[in-house]
Amino acid sequence: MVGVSILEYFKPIFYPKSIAIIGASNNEAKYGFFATKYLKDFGYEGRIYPVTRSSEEVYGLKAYKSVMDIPDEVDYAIVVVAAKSVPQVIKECAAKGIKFVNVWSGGFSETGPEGKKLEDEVRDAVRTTGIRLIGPNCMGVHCTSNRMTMVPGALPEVGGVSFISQSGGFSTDVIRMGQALGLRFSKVVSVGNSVDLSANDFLAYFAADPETRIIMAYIERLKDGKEFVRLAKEVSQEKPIILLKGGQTEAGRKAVSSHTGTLAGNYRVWQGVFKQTGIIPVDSLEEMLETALGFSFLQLPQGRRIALIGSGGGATVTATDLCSRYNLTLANFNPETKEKLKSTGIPAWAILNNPIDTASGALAVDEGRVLTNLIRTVSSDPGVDIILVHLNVQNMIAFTHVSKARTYFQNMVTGIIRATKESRVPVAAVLRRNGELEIERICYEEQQRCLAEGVPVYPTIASGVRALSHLAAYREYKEKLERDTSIK
Amino acid sequence: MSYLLPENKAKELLKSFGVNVPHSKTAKALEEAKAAACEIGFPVALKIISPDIIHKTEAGGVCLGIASEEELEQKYNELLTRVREYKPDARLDGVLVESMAKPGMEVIVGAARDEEFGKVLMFGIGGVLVELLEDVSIRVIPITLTDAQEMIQETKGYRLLTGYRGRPRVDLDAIAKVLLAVGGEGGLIEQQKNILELDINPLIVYPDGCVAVDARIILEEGF
Repeated sequence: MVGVSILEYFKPIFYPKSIAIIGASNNEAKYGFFATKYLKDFGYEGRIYPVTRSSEEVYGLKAYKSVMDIPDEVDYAIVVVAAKSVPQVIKECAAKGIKFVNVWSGGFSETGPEGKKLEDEVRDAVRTTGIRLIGPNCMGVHCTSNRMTMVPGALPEVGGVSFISQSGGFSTDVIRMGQALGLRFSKVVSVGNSVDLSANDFLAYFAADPETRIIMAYIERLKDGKEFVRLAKEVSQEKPIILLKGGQTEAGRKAVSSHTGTLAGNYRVWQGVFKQTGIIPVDSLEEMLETALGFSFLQLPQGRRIALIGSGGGATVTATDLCSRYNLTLANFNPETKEKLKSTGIPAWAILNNPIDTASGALAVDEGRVLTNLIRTVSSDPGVDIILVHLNVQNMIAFTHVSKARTYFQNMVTGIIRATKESRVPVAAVLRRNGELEIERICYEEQQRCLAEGVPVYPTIASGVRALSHLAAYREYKEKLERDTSIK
Repeated sequence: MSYLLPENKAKELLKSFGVNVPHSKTAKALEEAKAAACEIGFPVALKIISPDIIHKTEAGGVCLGIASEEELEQKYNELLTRVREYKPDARLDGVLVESMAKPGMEVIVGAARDEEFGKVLMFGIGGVLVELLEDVSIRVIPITLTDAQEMIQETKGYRLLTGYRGRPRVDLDAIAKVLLAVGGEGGLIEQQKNILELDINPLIVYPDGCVAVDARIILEEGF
């Protein structure tokens, strides 16, 4: 990497002008087919060169018998051939002048001693040729702005979220699940067995990448933990790193050793690392995505004082409990706010204190302006750092004005959107679903409207509170860093 | 493989990094031990120095709270007899005569190697319950001052250190200084690359200052 910036050096991985797919296939059940199809369907504008001995054409593209036969320069190759052929293919790619290969093929150290031997051969081929390798045993690279992908249904809008995964499956799950939640991606890379390039390399790349604002990572085991800590400390100052650590429990660790052929690290050390680096630890894929949603849509809260606005006694009480569990404190409204709340138009019996609990119907009147007023009033209170609005959709449809129920719910969402645009503090919404198709459909439609207007939507109160708590923690970490530097 | 650094050497090393250790002298014979004790001042502790004895207490090689010259003579002879019985072929390099530390809050500072992250630093509340409760905090070396402060604060036993139920508040800055001396940038662990494991147990902390009463350093052979 001497003399070249990391952005320039890794450019052929994410922005190749031409891609060879070695092991391309017309068999619709093979990765050699998926790799070609999804890349082409997503609209990759560079040149795609399928390489296969068994066909003249793959997915409408002219195929070549060998990578050496391609009458053009090739930047980057996807390798999906059988494991035993991989070392030879790598040598051919190097001879062709290809800088980076992405080996999807499995059957290496994750399978046992035989595979381990083969992996050593791959490592030797990399060392002797100087080619750089991602994988093996992975699921490729996604780069929205270059229309590169390994999944069907990837959305073309470029976002600021990038993901490093030590699981191939997760890398594809994350794109589809994340999109549905409202995330838009910049880049995704699955690193597999990390024979050559590893999570650290891509962490450094994403840190430098101007398109990436938020970094997510799924890590089972690091090759160089000390360097990871040094890097992560630096990166966290600029961009949040949300990390899901696989193999946290003894049982999980056993699953890890059969999964990647390595043992998971000591989770207690990891907990120290989280504190030391400002990395945001999460416990599930869902929590990782929901946290990234908060970072994508919201400014960081100034503190941990939350205001809850919603309907339902039980929901309000459990929301309060959840805030306490995730270290958010209920804001104390100042007298002026309490006075102003009286004239927002909510019923006289409603509780005009935090948490605000009121009838759903009231929130919907006047095109949701009551809800808008409530949010506006609360957001102007200097003692409030975050607002969470939670709506029970089933309940609203069932117990508001029956024939106008759908409109009422729309009005409430409009009310949230209207207030959020000018809110001093971050506002998140919870649209509580119930699993019924009709309710899910309504929620989905309103969720899309919120997302389009910049309001993040969470499926449960717990998930919303948890994500907001992570945002507050990251802000505190950054403040701590500023304090530390000012002491020096 | 690995070997244990003699306790007096371990303490000299800690001292050279600014960690406070008890005043001590080594002695090869009884008269020398007596002279050392008089110079240090009673009460003193006696500890066997031998490269062949890893667990001193188990070997009967430690005697605490010796109050006078007479007691020293008696305890010195008993200690040597016990150790010789325990391991007749052990090489005995003498005894360490050490000033007895006053009682205070006992904490642990340690360093070890983690397969994934390399050298890590540990802090914990001392005493018999430490292994049971696993009330420890860990960071990857090197740490910053903020890391050191957070390591102390995040243990459940933190309240014990800050004046729980009428106990005095102990010198938290002194603990942080030891953590930095061992695991900070340019600290002991970074400088002495052949240290596999280190244990200061206990580090006794007072309202003003602290002292490393026992120290074990395990070195990697062939460095």
